[in-house]
Amino acid sequence: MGIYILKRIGVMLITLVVISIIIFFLIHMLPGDPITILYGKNPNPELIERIQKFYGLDLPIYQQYFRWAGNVLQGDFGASLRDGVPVLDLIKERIPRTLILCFGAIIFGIIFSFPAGILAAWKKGGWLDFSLTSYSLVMLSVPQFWLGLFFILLFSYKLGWFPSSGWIYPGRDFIGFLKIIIMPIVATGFMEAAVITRMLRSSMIDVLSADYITLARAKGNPERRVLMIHSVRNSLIPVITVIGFLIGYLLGGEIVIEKVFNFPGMGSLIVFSTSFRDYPVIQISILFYAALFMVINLIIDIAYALIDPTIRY
Amino acid sequence: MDNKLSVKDLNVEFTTIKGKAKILRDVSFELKEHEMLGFAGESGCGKTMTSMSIIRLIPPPGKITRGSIIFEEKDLAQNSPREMVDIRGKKISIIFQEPLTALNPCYRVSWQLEEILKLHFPDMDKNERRKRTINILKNVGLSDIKKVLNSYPHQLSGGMRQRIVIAMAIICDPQIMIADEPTTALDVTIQAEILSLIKEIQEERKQLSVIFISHDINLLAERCDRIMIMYLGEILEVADSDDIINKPIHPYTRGLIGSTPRVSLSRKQFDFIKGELPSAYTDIEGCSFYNRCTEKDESCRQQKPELIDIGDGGKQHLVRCFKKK
Amino acid sequence: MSNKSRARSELFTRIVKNKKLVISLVMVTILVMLAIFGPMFVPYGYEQMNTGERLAPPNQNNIFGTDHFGRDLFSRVVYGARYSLMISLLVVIFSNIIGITFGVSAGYIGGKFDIFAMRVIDIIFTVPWILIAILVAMSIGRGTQTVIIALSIVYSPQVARVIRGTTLSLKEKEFIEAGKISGEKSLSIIFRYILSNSLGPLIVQSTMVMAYTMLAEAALSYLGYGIAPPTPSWGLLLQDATRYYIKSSYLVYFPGAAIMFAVLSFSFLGDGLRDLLDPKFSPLG
Repeated sequence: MGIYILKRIGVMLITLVVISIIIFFLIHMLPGDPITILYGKNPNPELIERIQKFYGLDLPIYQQYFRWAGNVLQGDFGASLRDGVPVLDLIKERIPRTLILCFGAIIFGIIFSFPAGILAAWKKGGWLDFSLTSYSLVMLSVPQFWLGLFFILLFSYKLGWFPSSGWIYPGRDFIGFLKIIIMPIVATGFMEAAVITRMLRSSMIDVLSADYITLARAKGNPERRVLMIHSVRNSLIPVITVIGFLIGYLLGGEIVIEKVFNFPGMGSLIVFSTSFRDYPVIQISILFYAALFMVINLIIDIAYALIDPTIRY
Repeated sequence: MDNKLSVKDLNVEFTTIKGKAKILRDVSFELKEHEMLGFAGESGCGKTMTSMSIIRLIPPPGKITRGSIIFEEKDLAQNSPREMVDIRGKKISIIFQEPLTALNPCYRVSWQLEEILKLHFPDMDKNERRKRTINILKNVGLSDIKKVLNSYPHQLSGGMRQRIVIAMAIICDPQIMIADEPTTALDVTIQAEILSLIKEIQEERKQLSVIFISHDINLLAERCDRIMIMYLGEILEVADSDDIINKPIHPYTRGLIGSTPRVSLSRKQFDFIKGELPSAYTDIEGCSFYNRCTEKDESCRQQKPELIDIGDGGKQHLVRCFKKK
Repeated sequence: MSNKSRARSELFTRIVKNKKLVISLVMVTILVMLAIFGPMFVPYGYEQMNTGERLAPPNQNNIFGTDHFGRDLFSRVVYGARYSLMISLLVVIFSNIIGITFGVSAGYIGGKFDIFAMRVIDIIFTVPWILIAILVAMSIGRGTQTVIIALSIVYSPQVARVIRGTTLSLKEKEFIEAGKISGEKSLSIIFRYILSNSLGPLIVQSTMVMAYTMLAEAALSYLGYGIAPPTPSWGLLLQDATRYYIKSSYLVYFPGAAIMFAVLSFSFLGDGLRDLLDPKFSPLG
């Protein structure tokens, strides 16, 4: 398995390089000159020349790329075109915040959906099943950002429980930190919870009709063990597959949620920088999300191997 | 009590959109001490359903509507789920037909075996459990036991898996073991081995009685002490195996014996039973075998025959037919 | 009855018995009717300002209330249906065209081209959809065409994968050979057989893409990358609402409900169609 992981990391790095090349060339071929955007139509030519030299904007594109790549490998991610702030400083603080949101949403989705899916499968056909299934279907149809807006309306303004924007360091005020992240996390993870509930339910229903489940009962297992120990593990494979498909959607939704809640993470950084054509920042941010996506997928593939003994890398 | 298990007037119904289907109709029989009792009949005649009723694992929407199942002086039909959980796997166990899907693919063999011990003997310590599991696998004829214990089901052959299923069924020294077509899905060569294994187990363990279910009546005759013929949820004939094979009374029994392919010196022609099973949803006034019987008359249609003992010399021979000879 | 008409009436019965399918078809029909004919019957134009008091809650004059320009929310929601549906339909069409082209070529030509195509698809998958949309928005600016192009790119990989799979499995089969013998050109053989085999899953997937596109378009417009004002996309309506919704929450509820209704009906439809096409499932679900 160790070799497998190494191979995957290798593929990841290659993909990241390819993506960085594509993005680099794409961005630089786009209309919209950052100089014009930042400094207006008639900027001081001397100033322009200095800026161009500093950022290497006067060099041919492929040379710019190698310059950039070389710098990245040495840990220099460049500087924002807007104000010269090093990109690394910009993303240093934002990355952990976005990671908290993303992983928080995934964990929330799982915690919320597992009991629901198992219960719905167990009490199939009953009113509990019907309400859980309809509820998840409705949750699938709600745009995430709308849910965020709704939460703010309800929990921030009507009830005054949670603040509607900003960030608090967990070290400084843990309760305040929890209050600030709970709405974004739930809003991001809700759709995923709905999809997992449905998938888990349908998977469990299939598993519960299997021979080995009847045999588990015949061995003297109480129904609780039949469900939790014998059925759930076998139901997880399609569920994990579905989670894998959702990651892309989840990451996209997370970016939108950051805007809804004015959450100072990588998502708001991207949205902000694109309006300024801030190439260095955009580049790194996109690579961040691509890398995050691949890492989560790798985790999922490892999870497959842990759950299903027939899968061995 | 002379009988291990005593079933009386057992009725099981399935309620669906199409109506009520009578799966078992007034089924009554005894399972004696240390005997191997065979259940014979076509698919859908109620053999499996009877065994599922005994361990109370009838799939919904089925229900026991009437009758009693007396085991160790208690009526299993009245037991609560918790009481049944204690009995299943420990006092009454079951082996199913398909070994490839019988074992949970996610857990090792050792875990699946030790689970039964943990469920029924919670005070047993780890070493004792290990010992017992190793022993039981020896008993069912497996070799390279450490490897088997560490394996997952998909790494083992069908024959090996069936032996493990048998091991799971006897690891707690049960009183009753139900074997539901245990060899039908196996290779012909393995079939004989597994059948001998089951016979061996039944003969060795004095406290064990076995119910052996099969559609192949000749297979049952070679190994069982007594055989019970079922049709459409009813018992049609019960007798010692020799009597069933040599002196079958009910036309259906005779049809079953004739229709099973048998290699013998003089190849008999197959006596196929013509016709199809009537629907379980309809109530039949007369004999349930009427529409396929070749020896019927008018009275067979109007009245349902009772199960009557026509045995002589102390040997019980029950038949449900007006034409007993 | 001839065999053909018997099969047809059987299909009809199966459709009618499947409650999910019937309800969703009704919902989708309502939506389509709203999109096509709705704007003819609304009281105001979608750009019309000062149709009543500004930021007025629902009242007799404006059933859904008004926004900060005094524009009638009800009319804008109804117009929004037309745009949302139209855009989603175009995305479905284009993503299918791109996906089928890619998938068939990858499967049929195979070899290096196949590997290359699969890599491209993997890369599109790796970048979250919203970033692709942002990149497109950066190059050609915001607008309806941006949304359509971006989302078509985002959803084409799924189609390509399905089609490629079918192509690969059919490539070897006999009827390609049989078709060749009877003189058909390989390409037309492929299209005919592959499409007719994948039609079912493709249709189901297309309804899902409709649903996702409506959600995605709303998100994009909300962020400012999508449709430009004053065109009333539902997502834009929600963006307009952000400054005022604390006091005027109806500005959030009505467009939200509209989006939910539309997405629900297509998800439902996809579910129902899947049940219909998969012989394993009974209509009783």
